[in-house]
Amino acid sequence: MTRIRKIKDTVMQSLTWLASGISAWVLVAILVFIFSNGWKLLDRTVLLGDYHARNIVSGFDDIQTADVVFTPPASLGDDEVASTRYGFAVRDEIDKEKNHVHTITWVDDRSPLRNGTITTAGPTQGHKAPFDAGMNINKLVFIDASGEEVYVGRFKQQTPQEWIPLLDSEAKQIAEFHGKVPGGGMRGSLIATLMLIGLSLFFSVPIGIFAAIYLYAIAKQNRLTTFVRSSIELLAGVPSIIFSMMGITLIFPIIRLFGLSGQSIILGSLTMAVLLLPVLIRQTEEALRSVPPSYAQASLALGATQTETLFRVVLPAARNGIFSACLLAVSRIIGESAALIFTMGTAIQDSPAVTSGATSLAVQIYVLMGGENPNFELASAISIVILILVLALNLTVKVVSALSDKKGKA
Amino acid sequence: MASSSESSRASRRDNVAFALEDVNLYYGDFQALNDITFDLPTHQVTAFIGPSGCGKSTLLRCFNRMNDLIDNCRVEGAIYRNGVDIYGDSVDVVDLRTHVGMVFQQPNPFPKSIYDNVAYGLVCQGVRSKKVLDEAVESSLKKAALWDEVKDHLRRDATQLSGGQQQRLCIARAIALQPDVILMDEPTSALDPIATARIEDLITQLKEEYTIVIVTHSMSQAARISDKTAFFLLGDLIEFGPTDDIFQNPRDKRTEDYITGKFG
Amino acid sequence: METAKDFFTSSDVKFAAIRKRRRRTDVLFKSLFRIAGIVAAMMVILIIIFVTSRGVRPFLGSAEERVDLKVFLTGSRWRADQGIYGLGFVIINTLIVSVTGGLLALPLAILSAVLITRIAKGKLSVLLTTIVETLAAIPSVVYGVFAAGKITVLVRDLGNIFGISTYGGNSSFAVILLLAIMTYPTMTTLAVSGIRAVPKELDFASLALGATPTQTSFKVIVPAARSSIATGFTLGLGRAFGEATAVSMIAGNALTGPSWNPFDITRTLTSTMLTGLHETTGLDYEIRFSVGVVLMIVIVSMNLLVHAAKRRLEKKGSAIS
Repeated sequence: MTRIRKIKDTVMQSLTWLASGISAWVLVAILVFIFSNGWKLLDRTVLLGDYHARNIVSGFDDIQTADVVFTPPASLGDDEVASTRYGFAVRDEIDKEKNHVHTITWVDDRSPLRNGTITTAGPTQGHKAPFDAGMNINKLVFIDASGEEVYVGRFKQQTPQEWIPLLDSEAKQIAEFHGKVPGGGMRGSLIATLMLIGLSLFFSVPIGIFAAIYLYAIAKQNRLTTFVRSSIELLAGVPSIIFSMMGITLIFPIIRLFGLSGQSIILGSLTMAVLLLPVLIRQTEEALRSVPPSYAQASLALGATQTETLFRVVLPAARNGIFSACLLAVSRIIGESAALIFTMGTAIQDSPAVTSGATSLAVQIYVLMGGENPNFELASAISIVILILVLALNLTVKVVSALSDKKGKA
Repeated sequence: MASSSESSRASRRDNVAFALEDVNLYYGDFQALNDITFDLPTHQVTAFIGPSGCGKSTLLRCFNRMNDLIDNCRVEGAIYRNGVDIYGDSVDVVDLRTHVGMVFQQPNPFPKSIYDNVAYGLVCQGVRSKKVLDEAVESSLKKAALWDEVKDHLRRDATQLSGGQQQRLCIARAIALQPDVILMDEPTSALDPIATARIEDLITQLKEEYTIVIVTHSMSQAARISDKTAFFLLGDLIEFGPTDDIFQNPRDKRTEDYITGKFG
Repeated sequence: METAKDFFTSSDVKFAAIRKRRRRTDVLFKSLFRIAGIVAAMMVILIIIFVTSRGVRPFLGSAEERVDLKVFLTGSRWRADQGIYGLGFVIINTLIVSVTGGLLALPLAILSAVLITRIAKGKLSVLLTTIVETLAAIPSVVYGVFAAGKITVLVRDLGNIFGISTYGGNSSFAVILLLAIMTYPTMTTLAVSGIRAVPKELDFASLALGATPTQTSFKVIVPAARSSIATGFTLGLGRAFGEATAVSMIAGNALTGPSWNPFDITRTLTSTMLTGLHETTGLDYEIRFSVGVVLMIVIVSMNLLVHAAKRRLEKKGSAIS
């Protein structure tokens, strides 16, 4: 072999390594960026907490200033100050807006402060007020031995080291608590995403499977079938933002007939249902085609009708493939953003309802990244959740198909 | 049995293309060739015959080391070409294949033009001169008896040629590299009788210039075109000699049984 | 035999009823399957009809609220605040960033596909495939977060080296890089399956002619897989044109254009459709459907163009050698 040929070969081979190296590097860079920005934020309060911060004012009717002396857990740090009479500990922290806050780090289950009721006017008035780790305490009002109300807390620029001993020594009765449940959570979007997944699959899986059966068993080799196939193929190539517009122009007028108006999770899931059809049909048809034709022939020869054969023999034999199709659809729903922005809106909800607008996790990321100051930390934290879900779903699909391959061979 | 040095001396003789010495070949645990030893003559057509699975194609693929592409294939023994063992460490496989051409069972032109197919080997060698390539393409196509049919549309896609034309193109493609040997693995099995006859004519013409080894299932084809015949059975070389002798007066009972059609 | 036949053709009322019900169920479900298939097929037509009919409204409305179609298609300014909707430069910008991004990804995709299918063996090949599949599975918003946090910073720093000030890195260049990354997995996957489908015989033929394995890969196998590679390129471009959320995070939403400076901010069809959506009504909302129509037209034309190019390539047989 000539020298030049050897050199050329080496160059081309190195280029292939370089190209794949770049893709590997990009993947690692994405994962490192997302995880390094979001991981430290990702805890229980972010995962399951509200997005919108909520102020709490609670009153206490009848407080037995218990004789109990609470023992704070040994794990408390030096910067945490515990109230042994009321069973909680706080820490002075700096929040995202660069303000000092006194965050509750520990609450004993029997703490009398857990017995408050919300006093602010509104639908939640009279409900049990929260007093949990993660909340901020702004102000506490207690009544001292002389029967006078005493105000303590951060609002008076006191440090916890100042006001907690005061509370423990002076208070005879707690009167009021002013605090805040901090926002920045994703629970609402998580719930909305789950609703979206359930409804989208409910609408699209039956149509998808039936259409796949049509192509597999009913459709003849004719122009109509060619048309159906190429239309579904085309549908797969439609950008998701166009589906968004379809939701507004085509589906919205239909659901308005049922009394639903405006952006809603229902509108989003109907839109997603259409978007998912090509994926579902293609995967399901493939699964049906992998069923040995002898199964169906045997069933037909035994006098079963075609429908009976499909439901009793072919579909059960293809169930792994159909299950995989649904998992891929779920993964697509979790990752989808553009198709939902028009149809479900961009208002983040803490308590989503199917008949009103909400954001899915992916759309919440989009919202957080808009505006002047993109919230990279929370966006990355939600991205981690999405990535873990999507990659786990894809992995499951691989495992399922590997398992059924194995079974097929055996 | 000849000693190693004698054999390598023998292989340098002008009329030996390959000298095989105790060639054993294994696919994993399965032994496909057993102790094959013989000298393959130059400028003659040698036919390999035998029933399916006898190892004749496997042996053919040893001469240009195409067996290297099969993962668990292992070759023992030596095949000398010009005094050098082609399975030796210093041998460049790519270089070997430019000297030992091959034509396959199914015509396999590249989905490129006729011209590009014939020029391919030379281009890979680094030949860039248009003049050299033009000449090589013309002379190779002439030698392969295809020139008259394709000279006016050399830019046409080769896959549009008929099966017989495709196979002659594959021969032209091999000839373009000016090899010493052309290996043919059942080159006419996918062709109709007329196309087969043309290829057979071509083979008899080509032996003036090249050493040709042909694997064939057709006994009559072996009898028609070959000078020497080797009969294989279950990985053993049963008999090797002039074609006339093998067909008219086989020394081994198994050869006779095969030729007379007692098994196949 | 006789008795069995009698049994099946018996006029037993109950048995006949069951048979009738079974047949009716069969017919019913078959029509349901057919309806589902036809509904699925109709969707793409319905999308075109409904989005288009909404999208043409701004050009037909009352004089006050009307947008001039010629200005819309050729204009070089998009000022919603002044009621000026000139989309011409946006179309050009979209073509520039999408096609450049796709062309950047294509060679990388082909090279990676060659490595995966023909050079890397066993576990390494699986690992490389997994990388491509993972990149394909990452949702576009996540790409958007990465692009806004990393790619723009890279572009900004690069601009600083050349003494070009950027809008925090939001630029055509950043969008091109993002789209190259996002189209790469599609193109690679298609190239891999195309190369895997090339008959082994071509491989043998080339090696037997004394070509090296690398020469064989690039001179024979890749050209033989060109149809799949072209399909992958079209699919990739389709994704690039239609990519909305990630692109809108880093496009910068230029108000005028087209700009030929890669470090300048840009505006694509999709970013135009999304920007400021939550605080808009009236014409500014309606015009987004018109932009959607243009997006569909651009994608369809691009498909036809690539398809025609592919046809010509196949007709000529061997433009590639």
